[in-house]
Amino acid sequence: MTINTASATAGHRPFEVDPSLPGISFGGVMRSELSKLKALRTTWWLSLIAIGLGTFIAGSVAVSYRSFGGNGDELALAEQGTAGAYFAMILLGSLGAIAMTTEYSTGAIRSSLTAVPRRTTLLIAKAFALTLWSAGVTLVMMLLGHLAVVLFSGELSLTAPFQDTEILSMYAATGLVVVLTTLMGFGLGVFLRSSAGAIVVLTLILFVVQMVLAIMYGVTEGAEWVEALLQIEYMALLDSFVSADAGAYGMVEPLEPWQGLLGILIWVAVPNILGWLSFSRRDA
Amino acid sequence: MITAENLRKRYGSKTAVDGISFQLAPGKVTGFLGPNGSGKSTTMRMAVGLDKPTSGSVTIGGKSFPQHAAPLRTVGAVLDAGATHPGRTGRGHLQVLAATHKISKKRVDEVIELTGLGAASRKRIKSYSLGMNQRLGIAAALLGDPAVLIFDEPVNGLDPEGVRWVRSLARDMAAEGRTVFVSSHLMSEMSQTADHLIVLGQGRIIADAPIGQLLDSGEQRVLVRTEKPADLRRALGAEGVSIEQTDAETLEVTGLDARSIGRRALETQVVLHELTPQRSTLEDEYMKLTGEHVEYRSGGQEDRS
Ligand SMILES: Nc1ncnc2c1ncn2[C@@H]1O[C@H](COP(=O)(O)OP(=O)(O)O)[C@@H](O)[C@H]1O
Ligand SMILES: [Mg+2]
Repeated sequence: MTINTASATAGHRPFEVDPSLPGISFGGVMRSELSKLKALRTTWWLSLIAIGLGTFIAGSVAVSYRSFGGNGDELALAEQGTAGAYFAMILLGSLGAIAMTTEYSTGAIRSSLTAVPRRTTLLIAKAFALTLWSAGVTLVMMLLGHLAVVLFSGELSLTAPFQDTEILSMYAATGLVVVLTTLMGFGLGVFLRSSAGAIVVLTLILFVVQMVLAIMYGVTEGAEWVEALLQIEYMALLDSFVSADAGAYGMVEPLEPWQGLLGILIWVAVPNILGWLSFSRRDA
Repeated sequence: MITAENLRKRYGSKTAVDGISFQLAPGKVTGFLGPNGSGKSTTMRMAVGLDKPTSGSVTIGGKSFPQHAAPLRTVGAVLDAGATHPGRTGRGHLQVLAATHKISKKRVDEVIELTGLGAASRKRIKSYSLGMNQRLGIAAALLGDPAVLIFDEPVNGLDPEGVRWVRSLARDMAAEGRTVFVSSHLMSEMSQTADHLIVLGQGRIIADAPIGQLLDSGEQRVLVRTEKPADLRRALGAEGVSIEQTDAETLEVTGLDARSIGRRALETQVVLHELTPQRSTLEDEYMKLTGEHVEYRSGGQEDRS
């Protein structure tokens, strides 16, 4: 065994980092987060399925509209054509959750945090990257969906959104809701740190809560508190924000569109704030 | 460059790091030695802000790690092989990290070259061996050409050639004036690389000294071979001297130096065949230091004392 006694000769000039070299920048971190997203196969699968399903559903709606002889209500037709957005919400919401939870399940979070130890910066950059990505996917999905409706229904004109502001704002609201739901999934992922957990909770919020409340509404013979819950659960809020004939098939009066949007923002903010609090405090 | 002050970390009721203070100087390789579970990784994770200290602090160049404007250029850390996404390629992993600090593609190529990842850098990480994962971790640590390097058990999983490479890398980095902090649970590993040692046992520092000094501070043993061990034993016996007979004519004496033993042998007229001062090996020192501090003792260790 050789013994190292170099300490006696140690005492070189300390190494200096050139201060002019770039440090962390928000743009850099966001680019890094975007390339992480793009490098995940799951990202491409979920996004392609969302686009494919959205377009297919729009086409199917248009075909059945035509075969049943439509009533010429362009707005209603366009809105039915966006039904695929519900699937996009669960798909992209899951992507939002996975974007965070895979960092934990793989341990990559430790590399990420040694490059970007300011946790709030990392979190916001990730949320931005997800927003950009999901907005892009939603845009493509809705463009193709619109095209499909135009082609197969023979009713809606290609330029309808630009002639009818109601159609345009319905499209915009739908797209916005998909992006916000992606961010809700992200918040759930950050808070729960588990893909399965986050996706289950997201599914409950999107597909189960309304059903359960509806059953309770029947059982309690229309109790007021159930009625209130039915108004502020996520899907009812979506309906009141997006839909022109909101509440037409519902059991309770919908809220105003602005109230709907406010409610959605709160639903999205809660898991994100909880996630941020836990992420910025807990050990990685 | 790295300063810990009363650094403590508890996980639930388990105290992993128990109020340690130390300072690491640039230009040296500081070895962080301790048995498994002694708190080395926890200390290193706290140094880069992954875990929050329960109390106390650890700073790098006077600031906590997250406060640095360019973390990757300040500290390169290899904390555990496999802190990567298995679906990404090695190069992809490095590029994702490089993007955060606008580090050039050229630098990514350089560290791939430097760590010998080569063509494997274009393969998915899930196909990597433990050794390749270590090399990728080291490549990531070198990406920002940082002033401080923190390596947690870097030679785990490396082949002998890789082990030699890591050792000389650590030495070269220190020679360039960087602060190099390398942990290991193996004394033999440290004795080949480190200038200075911090020895940890159950979350407490039990030694913090230049490696040479740790050696000298060891108790001197003297090996004596004689025709009449019983007589010599009688002659040497005194307060503070302990004598162990290892075979029919061999004694191991602690508490007396070779000169005194030789003189005493002459006085008693006992013939000596051999009189050899035994420099205690670092390994012995380590066993002695951590003897009372190991959490899980393996069966055979008792009779080493
Ligand atoms: N995240 C954690 N949760 C609970 N206990 C932990 C955690 N990390 C480490 N420990 C405990 O802290 C002690 C020190 O662990 P560690 O720092 O990994 O030691 P070393 O790296 O020296 O082997 C061990 O007893 C270990 O079980
Ligand atoms: Mg360890």
